[in-house]
Formats: sequence, structure tokens, C-alpha cells
Amino acid sequence: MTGSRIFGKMEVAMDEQNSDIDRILSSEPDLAPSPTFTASVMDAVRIAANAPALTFPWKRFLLGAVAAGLLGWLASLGVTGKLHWIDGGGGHLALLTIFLAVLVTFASLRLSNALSTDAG
Amino acid sequence: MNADADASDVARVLRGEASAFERIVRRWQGPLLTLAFRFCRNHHRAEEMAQEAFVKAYRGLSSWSGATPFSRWLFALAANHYRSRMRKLELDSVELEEGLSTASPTSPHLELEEREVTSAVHREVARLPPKYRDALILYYFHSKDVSEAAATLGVPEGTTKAWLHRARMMLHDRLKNIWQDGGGDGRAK
Repeated sequence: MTGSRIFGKMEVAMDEQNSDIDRILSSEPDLAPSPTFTASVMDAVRIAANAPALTFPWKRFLLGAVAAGLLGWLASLGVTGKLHWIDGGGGHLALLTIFLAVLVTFASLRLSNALSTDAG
Repeated sequence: MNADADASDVARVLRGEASAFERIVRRWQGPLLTLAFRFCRNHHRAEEMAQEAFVKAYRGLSSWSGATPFSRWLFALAANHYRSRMRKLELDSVELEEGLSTASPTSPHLELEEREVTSAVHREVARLPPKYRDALILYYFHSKDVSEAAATLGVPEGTTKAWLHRARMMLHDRLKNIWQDGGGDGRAK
């Protein structure tokens, strides 16, 4: 059997298979909702309508702003060389900065998790 | 006319008449539920997902500009919600129900084969990568209208066509063994 004949047979098989897939996916009928569906949706809608509107998360915003301000202040002290008393000439400032960054990251993750759990 | 009724009911809901939303629900609950079922293949979960989509639609009703048909806006919102819900569901935990087939096999043997193949097709569609699965589901949901499927997906028609082509190729590869083993009614052996 020549290559083109094999390829031709494969193409025919693929077309037939595609038409079977097409037939199966096209023949799916529409679904009817259960008798209580509309009432259940409207109940959920009424609850949503009566729920208080989402307010701006001032608590989270203020905490973030305070943390960012503190880090900015520490960074500016480091840049202007006012943290030499901590450095002590042994590279402690770099370690302290890394430690603080890790601490702040960990705290912010815990805080955001706690706040999202409260909100949910 | 649905479009006029939709526009009028949306206006009423936005004026504070929440009960007008019930007419929207009654008008669109069938299609939204059908679409949800084609994503999750579980009747109970489909009702849950469709309900959530309606609540989302109610909350976001003011974002419908009226420039596009309400149905298109609603389907896009619902499909987005369903796709996001499907991402959260572990594929293995998704229990696939038997699809409701309208085909009419001529013998119990053929009926069994038909059901096996139908169920295999649905299972493999569910296992496709999400973008290909979504394109395929929406294409058949919109009665093979590529432009409607593209609008619901929020991607260009060309992209939708490419995804559909890829989806068919992948389905073909995955179902090859079933067809070779003699599934279906033997037409594609």
C-alpha cells in the first residue's frame, strides 16, 4: 500500500471520527431546571440585595500604609548612613534589613490571611 | 421579543424593583443551566453554578451598557464564572453524569456502545486543557456559531477557531483507541 493511500485512509477515519464527535456534542439536549430553582435563585438574589455594599478596606489600607512608611523610614536611615550605630562595622545592617524584610513579609501574609478569613 | 423584555426588566431592576429580576431568571435559567451542565457535567453542581451566575448578574447589572444584546453579556458573565469555578474543582473529583443523548440506537447492543462512546467523548472533553475545552463547549452551546462563542469567551474569532481546531485534534488522538476498539456503532472503525 502506498503512503498516499495509507494517508488517505487515515484522513477518512479522522473525518468520520470528527463527525461522530460533532454528532454527539451537537445532540445534547437543553436541561430543565428543577421546580424550586427559580425560587432558590430569587432567595439568593434577595440576600445579595440586602447585603451591605462592600466598603473600602480602610483597616487593611492603614496597616499597609503604616508598614510601608516604617520600611521607607528605615531605608532612608540606611541610605543616609544614620544606622551606623547598628551596623557596628560588621555588616550587621544587611542582616538586620534581611531579617526585617522576612519578618514584614511573614506578618503581612498572616495579616492578609486573617483579614480575608474575617471577611469571608 | 426577548431583547426588549430584557432591556425593560433590567431598567426596572436598576430602579429598585428586584422582582423584575425574576422574569430575567425565568427567561434565561434554561440556557444558563444547560451551559453550566456542559462545563461540570453534574446536575446539582450545575444548578449551584447557575444560581451563582444569576447573583453575579444581579450585582453587576448596571455594567450592561445595552450596546450588546443582554444575552451575550449574560452568557459571557456566566461562562467566566463557570470557567473560574471549574479551575477550582479538582478534575478527579468531578463526577461526570451520563449525558442525555437524543440519538436513537437500533438495538440494546448498539445503545450500550453509543452510551460508552458518548460518555468517553464527554469525559475527554472535560479533560482537555481549559481554553480548548471552553471553546468547544461554547461552540456547541451556541449551535456551532464561532462568532458567538468568541464573544462569550472574549477572544477574537481567529483565536477561537485555532482553539477549536486544536481541541478536535486532541480529542481525536485521545479517542483513537476507543474507536479502534470498536466503540460507537462501528462506522469509524
